[in-house]
Amino acid sequence: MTPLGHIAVKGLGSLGNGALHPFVTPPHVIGIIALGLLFGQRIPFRLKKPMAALALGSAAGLLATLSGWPGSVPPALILGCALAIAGWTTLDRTAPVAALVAAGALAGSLIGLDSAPEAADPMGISQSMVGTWLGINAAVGYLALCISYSKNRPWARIAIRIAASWIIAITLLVLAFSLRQQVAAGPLRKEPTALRPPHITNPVSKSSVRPHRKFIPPR
Amino acid sequence: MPFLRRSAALVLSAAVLAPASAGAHTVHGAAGGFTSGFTHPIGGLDHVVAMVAVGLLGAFLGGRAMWLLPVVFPVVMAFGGALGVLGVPVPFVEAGIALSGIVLGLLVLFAAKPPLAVAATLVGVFAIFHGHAHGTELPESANAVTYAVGFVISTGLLHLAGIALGLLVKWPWGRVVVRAGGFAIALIGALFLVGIL
Repeated sequence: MTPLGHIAVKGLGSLGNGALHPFVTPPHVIGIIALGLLFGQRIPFRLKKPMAALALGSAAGLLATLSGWPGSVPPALILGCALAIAGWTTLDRTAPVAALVAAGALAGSLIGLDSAPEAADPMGISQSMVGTWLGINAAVGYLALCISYSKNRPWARIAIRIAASWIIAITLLVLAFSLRQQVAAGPLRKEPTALRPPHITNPVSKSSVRPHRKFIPPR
Repeated sequence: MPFLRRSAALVLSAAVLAPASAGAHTVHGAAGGFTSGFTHPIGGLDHVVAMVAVGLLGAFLGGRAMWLLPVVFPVVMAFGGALGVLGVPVPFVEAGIALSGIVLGLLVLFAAKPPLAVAATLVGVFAIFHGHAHGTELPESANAVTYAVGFVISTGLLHLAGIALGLLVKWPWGRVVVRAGGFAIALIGALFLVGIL
């Protein structure tokens, strides 16, 4: 899958580009919507713990990108997380706070880990990270608040479940597509034997392995 | 909360009008994937009528069916799509798609009200065929995420169109229109089954 979250808008600065990052990466958008739908099931002023977990998780994920993390999480992992969250939302059952906290922390850390800043200078990196952190948390918080205020209306309850089912369908399709790509590119795909050099024709057989040169120490 | 209502409308408008979503006249990459996915379900009349029929039936049955059927269909359809993407064969796909139009259309035409579990199972079984057909035709080059987003949104909008049409049953003339819609759907399904369309 092609990474899409690397569209820098000139003139917006590192902070603005960082804030935009979660909205231009489709797996992040799906994860954020799934999380917002889940958090929105609670009444507005009981969102503190899940939102705090999301804030901490996303901050931890973003900070981890500074410590040599290669800078991307497989989209299938974020989408798998979104699938589980949307599955729970579709059931229309009140989730315990601990489950919301765990979902917020996990999804936040995965999205954070997948949002390594691209700026070169330390100031740009820090601004980009702050922007991304704000973008993730503001989007989830705003969506949860909107849903939370309107969820008692009959149409809103239907809309929430339908939206969650759409997320399930999207993630299922993408995961299947991802699996197909992995199967096509993975160890199951065999290279034609005739095209290989003779010394790796049969890696298991000792006779076909090219012998190492004998090491002669310099005098 | 007027502020939330106004701001939600603003955010929604911004999302719809965002130039990045439109792709500025290009159909490559993410925008191409979305366009390809969005137009895929509406490209075949057999799919269109069946998906409208699901919404129509949901609205006709009323109550929980109105949201349960449009929830069941995309989820099971995605499962069928996954089978198609992975190359798992499903027999009688084309016949199943045509039958879905006939059966769902006849249910609406005769104003049948099967139990919710039966309706959901029927819709789920037919969704497998539709999903498998779409999954098999998924282009290799399309961006998977945006393709799936476009595909599911398009399918969902077809359900919503069916629900909107089905809400006409509140009025006596509306019932006639909805049942006539059921007849048209069943007829199109039958024409596909015998190979005329």
